[in-house]
Amino acid sequence: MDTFEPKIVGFLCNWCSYAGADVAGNAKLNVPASFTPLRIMCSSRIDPALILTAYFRGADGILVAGCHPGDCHYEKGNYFARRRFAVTKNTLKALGLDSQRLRLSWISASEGKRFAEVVSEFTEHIKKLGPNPLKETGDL
Amino acid sequence: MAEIMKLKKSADAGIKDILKYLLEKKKVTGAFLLKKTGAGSVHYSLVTNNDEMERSVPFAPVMPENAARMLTIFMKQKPPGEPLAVVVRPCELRALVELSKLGQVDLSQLFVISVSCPGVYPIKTYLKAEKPDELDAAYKKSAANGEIQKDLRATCNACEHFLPIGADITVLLVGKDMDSACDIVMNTEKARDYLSGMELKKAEEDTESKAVVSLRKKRDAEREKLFSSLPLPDAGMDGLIQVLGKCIQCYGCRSVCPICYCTLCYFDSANNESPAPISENEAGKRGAVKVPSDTLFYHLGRITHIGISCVGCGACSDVCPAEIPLPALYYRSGKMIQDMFEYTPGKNRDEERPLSVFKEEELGEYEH
Ligand code: SF4
Ligand code: SF4
Ligand code: FES
Repeated sequence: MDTFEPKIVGFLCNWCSYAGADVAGNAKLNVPASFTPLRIMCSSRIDPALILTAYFRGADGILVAGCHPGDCHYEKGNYFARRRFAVTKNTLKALGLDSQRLRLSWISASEGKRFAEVVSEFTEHIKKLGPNPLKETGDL
Repeated sequence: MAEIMKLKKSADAGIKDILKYLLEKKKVTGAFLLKKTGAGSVHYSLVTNNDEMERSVPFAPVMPENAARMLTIFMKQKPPGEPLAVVVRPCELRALVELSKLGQVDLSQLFVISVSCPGVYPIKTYLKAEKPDELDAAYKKSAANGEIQKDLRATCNACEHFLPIGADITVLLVGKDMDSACDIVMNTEKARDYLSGMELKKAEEDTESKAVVSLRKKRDAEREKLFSSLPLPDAGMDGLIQVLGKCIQCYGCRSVCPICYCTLCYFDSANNESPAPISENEAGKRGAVKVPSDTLFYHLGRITHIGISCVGCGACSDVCPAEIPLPALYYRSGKMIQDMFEYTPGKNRDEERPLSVFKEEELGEYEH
């Protein structure tokens, strides 16, 4: 298990968190290499189906990141995103799947350091959980 | 206490009289209700003539379709003016309210007649009955006594909202002899106005009758039983695979669901295709993939999409060929999601669906 490098899919909003990731890169901060960033226009683009697709295809962790509340480029997108995220997480929990593999974080365009910390900390958390068991079964 | 109008005839005959009156006086453009369409079959129909009205069976104990789904199709392009009279069950009315919030139907174009609802039989039970009269008699008896009828839809026996919310007229079926009583409550000004020309005998009565109270209690217990019949969440991933594993992904449950109104469903879209590069890659990782794959994805996707508005009508479970425990699964998960926002779908027409609104300060426990 020591060699387990969690595969983490990150949905990053274009205006804040993706820019934050850029800042982290420019500052040469350490971000786990197994993190896969996906750029979306706003955290509210995240339909539960996108999270579920990543989850059932075997992502060990899924991060949704957007602008801090009040700072969304489209004003309110992240508030809607938060409700939908909560519904998705609770649905997994109520049906017996591991909802701890889902995480929601607000990271601004200047928070390169916070970006690196969030991803590293989430990666550590997933390492403790172990690999997503859903990726081993062909019976889904 | 409510003012009750008592028509001394069967519930069916009484409501047909009222509909005929509304048609004659041109108060409504038509009546939408269940009608016999052949030997043993019953369908929703749009009725505009009195002879056809005679063949209608407004309170046949079956729901061939959730009326709300039919009405969103039916009401399109209806010009402003007199409404359409509809005879629907409380869960169908709640689905209508949800669909109106989603911009799919205009409630002001409906004159709604609903019932205090004893439930319905599953479609198969109703259509295949060898002795339909006995089925009918058993239904009326349990309705009169406010009893659970074990042959009814599981969701009906577990339903907590069997008194309609927001109907113009409520016909009381629970606690009444449907063969000899048509007791109706006028809930709205519109109802009193439309029927002002009819000779109706008035009485005072408590709609929370003994039968209603006792049925509610029994159903609460049934609901507990239904919800705990799933081995979830304790059985984890394997348990969920077991519960859903038999699904053949016919998408029947989605087709009949009143809340699933999208013309192009995500699960039919190119987004959800698994071309060879994807499926072979997935099989490579896992050793094999079941086809059709994505069964869990489909159901969780549907729950996250429509759970907030699921009215627990049970239309989905009636059509499932694989006998997936959909009543427990969808009704329970839907209620879990609704409880997060203290929301009852279809209850309050002015309250927005929780996924269309937000509070700035909330759900902090989901942020990291
Ligand atoms: S999911 Fe099933 S029970 Fe819920 S509204 Fe749709 S058809 Fe009715
Ligand atoms: S109706 Fe039954 S078999 Fe068909 S998709 Fe729904 S759960 Fe699966
Ligand atoms: S644009 Fe960043 S969350 Fe909406």
